[in-house]
Amino acid sequence: MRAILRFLFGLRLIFLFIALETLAIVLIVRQNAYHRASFFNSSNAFAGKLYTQVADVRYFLSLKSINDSLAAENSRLLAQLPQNREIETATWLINDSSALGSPRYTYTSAKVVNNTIGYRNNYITLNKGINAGIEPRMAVIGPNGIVGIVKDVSANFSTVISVLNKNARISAKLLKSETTGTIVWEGSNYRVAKLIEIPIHIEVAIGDTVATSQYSNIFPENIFIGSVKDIQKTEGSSTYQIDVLLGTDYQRLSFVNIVGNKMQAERDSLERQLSYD
Amino acid sequence: MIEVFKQLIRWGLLLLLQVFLFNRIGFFSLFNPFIYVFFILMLPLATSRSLLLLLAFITGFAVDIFSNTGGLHAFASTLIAFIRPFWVKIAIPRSNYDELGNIKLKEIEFGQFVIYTSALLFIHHFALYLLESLAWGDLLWISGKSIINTLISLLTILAFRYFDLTPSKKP
Repeated sequence: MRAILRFLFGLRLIFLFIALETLAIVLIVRQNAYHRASFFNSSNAFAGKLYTQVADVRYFLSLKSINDSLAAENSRLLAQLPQNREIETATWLINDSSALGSPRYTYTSAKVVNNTIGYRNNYITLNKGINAGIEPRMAVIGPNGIVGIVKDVSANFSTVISVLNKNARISAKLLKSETTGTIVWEGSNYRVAKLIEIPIHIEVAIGDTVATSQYSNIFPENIFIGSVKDIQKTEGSSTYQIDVLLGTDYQRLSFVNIVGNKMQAERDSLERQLSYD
Repeated sequence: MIEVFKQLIRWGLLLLLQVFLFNRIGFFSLFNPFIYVFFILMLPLATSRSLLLLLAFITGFAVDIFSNTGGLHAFASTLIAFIRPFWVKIAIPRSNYDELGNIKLKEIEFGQFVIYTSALLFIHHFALYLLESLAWGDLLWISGKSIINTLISLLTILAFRYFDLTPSKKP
């Protein structure tokens, strides 16, 4: 008996090692789920506040470029106002009447307090949380296109799955041909994502616009994602591999809008009743 | 006591540098060096193996919280903390240990220091990138990324060594 105990005592290091590594793996797996509030990521109050302090300094240093991009976004949005469109006014009014009453999407502006681009799975921390009505699975959009999807929220902060993340698969379409595919990121260049599942009989040209599709239950339709940079055709494959130059420069991201979809829960619960097998 | 305090300062400084500076470099999503590993590498040789494992886990986990990486850093750090005692015996001859069992930064030969550091750095980076990606198809990319970032981490750590960022033994 004593010999067995002594033997086990000799192995205590191995046990500790295995226990710690197992705990680490549990934590990694947990990271891939959506949480309403979690202490163990940068949406916790301590990490969030620390990041805010540092982000404030960075803002001050890059105010000029932030202003430029916000001004550009403003003029783009102004151009979309109905009184600035001559021909399409009638159509626009009809489209709008279906949404009369309250708008379907809510917008909350937020500041980026932390952001990584060097990992395979990158996350962004924002300075708005439950107190501002932010919930998991809301969309995040920047001045130059989509940014990501809200993952965890705490009282005053939220973490966002960036497009630069293995877990972000975003339904996208080629604006010209209205063909839908999926945007994925392969981990080597933070400016370029891949658009997959576009059949080879579709015509694609370099420079074509890629935007969010109508299938997404997170993003509003027609939000800019990026433009086609390169098109590859693999022998024997029925789909293209399209490189998309992302509109959002993640290295310079500072202000974003968090978009809530009032009909998201309704559609989710309806679609959950379907089985795809 | 002074030794504990010294290690605490080093721990804090390295963590701040890692989280606010080195986590953000990301040149073409390629640069992602982990310089905080320096703390684990430089813990006194007299540190018991179980304490070494626990400290490495805590350090890695602290970086995880700030980087939203779950337990990736905790995993890789614990791994090299487990390997470290075996590797020290191979890489650094006994004559260089001082009475506290400190690895004396200035007394280790440059070549030995590079070998000791770079091997553990590479294992740490490689394990982390592999676990993060979990795709054997990315193996070439992961290897390349590990080599490049090991080099960056190594150069940074050599700079720490040169400037002797950690407080010296004098009061």
